[in-house]
Amino acid sequence: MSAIVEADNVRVEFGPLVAVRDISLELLGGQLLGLVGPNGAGKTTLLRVLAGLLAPTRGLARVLGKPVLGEHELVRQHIGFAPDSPPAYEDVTIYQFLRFIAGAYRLDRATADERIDFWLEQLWLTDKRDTPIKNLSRGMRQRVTLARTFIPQPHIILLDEPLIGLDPAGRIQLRKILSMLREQGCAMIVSSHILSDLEEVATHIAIIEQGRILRWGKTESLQHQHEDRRTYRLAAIGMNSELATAVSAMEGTSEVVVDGNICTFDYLAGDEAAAGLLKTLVDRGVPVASFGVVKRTLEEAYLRSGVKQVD
Amino acid sequence: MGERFHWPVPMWVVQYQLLGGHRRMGGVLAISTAVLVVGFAGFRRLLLDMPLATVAGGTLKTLAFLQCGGLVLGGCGAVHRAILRDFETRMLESHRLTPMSNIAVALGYLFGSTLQITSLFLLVTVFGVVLSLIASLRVDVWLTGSLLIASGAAALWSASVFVCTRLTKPPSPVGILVGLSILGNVGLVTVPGLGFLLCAYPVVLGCMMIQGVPGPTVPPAAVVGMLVVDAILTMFWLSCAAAKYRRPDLPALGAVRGLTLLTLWLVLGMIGLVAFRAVVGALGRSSGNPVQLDFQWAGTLVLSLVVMLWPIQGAVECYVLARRGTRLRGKADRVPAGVVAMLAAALIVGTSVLFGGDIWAQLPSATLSSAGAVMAWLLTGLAFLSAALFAYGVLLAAVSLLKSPKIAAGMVLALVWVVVPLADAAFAEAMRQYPHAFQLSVLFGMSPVGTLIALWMDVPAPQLGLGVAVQFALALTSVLMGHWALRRAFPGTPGSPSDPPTAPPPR
Repeated sequence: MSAIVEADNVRVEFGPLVAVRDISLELLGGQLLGLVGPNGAGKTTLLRVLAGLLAPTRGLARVLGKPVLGEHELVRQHIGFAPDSPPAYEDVTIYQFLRFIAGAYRLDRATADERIDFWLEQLWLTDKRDTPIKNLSRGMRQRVTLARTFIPQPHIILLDEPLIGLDPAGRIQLRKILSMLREQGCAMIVSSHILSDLEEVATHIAIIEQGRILRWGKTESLQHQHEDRRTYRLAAIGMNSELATAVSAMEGTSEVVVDGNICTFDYLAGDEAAAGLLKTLVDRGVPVASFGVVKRTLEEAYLRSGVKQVD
Repeated sequence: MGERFHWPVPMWVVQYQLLGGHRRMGGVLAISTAVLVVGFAGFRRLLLDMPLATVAGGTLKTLAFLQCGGLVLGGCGAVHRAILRDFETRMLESHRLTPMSNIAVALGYLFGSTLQITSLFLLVTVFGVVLSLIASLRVDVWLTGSLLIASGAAALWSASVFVCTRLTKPPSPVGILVGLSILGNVGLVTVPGLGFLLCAYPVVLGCMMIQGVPGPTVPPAAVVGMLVVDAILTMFWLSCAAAKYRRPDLPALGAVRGLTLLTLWLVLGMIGLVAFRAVVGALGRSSGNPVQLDFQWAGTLVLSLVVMLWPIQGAVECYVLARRGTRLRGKADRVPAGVVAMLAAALIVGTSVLFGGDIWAQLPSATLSSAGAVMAWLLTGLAFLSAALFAYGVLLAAVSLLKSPKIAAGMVLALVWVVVPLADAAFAEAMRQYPHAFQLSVLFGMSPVGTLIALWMDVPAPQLGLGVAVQFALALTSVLMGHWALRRAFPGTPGSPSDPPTAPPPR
């Protein structure tokens, strides 16, 4: 399966400032890459290069095997990009604006109307269909931008801070839409500061700092990447005060906390180490009801990654 | 797969909606019609003692200003407002994401944002036809004049689209236009071709025609010629705007478009020189003023030095960007800048020799006496070649090393090309009070501008051959310095990363 979107040693310089440092990445259909990092890390610049809006100083971005930066209208047909500040004509209605976008993508009238109706409904904008865009709130405008991005049914969707301005229900709805598009085979890159939202939908995460990818990988593996110790959770039947003593007595355990018959503690990372620990506990007569690794949140993984915060 | 052309209907529709749609357009046309009718009725009432035909003729003269000013300035302003709005709302960027072709977007701005202005123009044209009939004037003159204004305006709107399409906030082309129109008027006498390039002639002629200003009879072939020139210029600026819109980081006037502009300038320059003499002759004045012809010919050649800078600068910028590793548009951007410089010089000399023969053969310059013509053209060719190479070297160094290369390079070129002969002439003039001291030195010919003036305006500058040799030495030094600067700025091979690449995420 070939990559739908790829960056090949992309470097972007603005005078002496290097915004993106020789980044390479590939994304297949059905993958959603969450791009996280502090402000000024180069996330937006990278997205703009992949969208073909910015010429890299060096390197190449490709979509469906073709250079993004060129005269290939086919390529542009397949890219959907929603920038962080929503572009829109203020003096036209939502419907007029989306009709213009559909026309620009050469959709016939019936298809355009069908898709506009669908996305207005998905993004809870049906009631506002004939409202001038200048009368909309920030969150509403964000939804119009998302509708503008999705209407051409692009294969590659690049969203820059799409969750900003959306209310909690809107965020949940957008997560559902992103999951739906991912399942339909779209390749997506979403930059966001709201890591809990990304955690739910992203298949991959890239932590970007000072123009380079500091860490990357599948979302679950990244949460525990480069850790020599993990937190485990153990429930035992009929043991309360003795449980803490039993766990603390094991060599290598630390940070032992007992709450009723549930004990959390830190121990060596790795499946073999965990299996060995469990066997020893059972051998010592601890009545184990359940045993597992406590999943770290993406926020914790991000903070542990050593990213220098500039915010 | 390249871009296919599609009519920019969505752009036109949205521009129309942004202008207020049917309601606003209907309102504007209704109010304008009322103003025209009431205005004419008012004139009629004020001038009851005059015949109706005279009043209608007088009203036509007033309408001429509306036609001209409204269409040219109003249209350029409308283009600017539309692009500025799209720049501020980031819609310009949004268009860039869509599969609309570059030329379709440029056309969308050209004819979409000016819909209201065009409608008003058509309304006034119809009203003018009615008034012409009332005044028993020739309707075809009014219509031809309006057509000339419209064609000139379209070329200027197109240039405005080009000026406004950029990465930074678009400047207002109206100010530029006023400056250019002043330049065009000055050029009418000094560099006649400039009036064609700046679309001044068709607009001025159209205005004169619809005002009924007496002038030489313009043959239909000349009117058609002007319409063709305007159409070519409209398409040329539109193509530049389209190129700039898609890749604002690259120069629009690269090797091919830059050399096309130079060719357009040279052809229009030659036509301008011929047309000027024809018009002066038709007006019954002396067309053989040798000093004026000298001045116009030298002026055209000197201005060619300036126009030549566009293709060279564009090619140099592309060359430096390619060296840095930036992806260019295509083969046209990859023409070596040194070759472009030499081509530009060859183009100027070739066109001037071949198509300007009728003009320069009339020059009374002493240098053109019998065998002198060959030498004059040889020195002219060498001066242009050295000037092109010098400009290439200076621009290469400036673009490689400086943040604002255009200003620095412009200053160096102005210093060597203009200040040197000017200083020499000023010194000679200052020494005029001393007997036998009034003469230019070899310094005058060390600049291409000095050489051209000396050769074609019969200015007695000594040792021009030595001067041109010095120009060549300077040009070679400049080329060497330019390449040294390029190597200093980009020591690595093109495209080599200076940081290790980040590995791709797992699939």
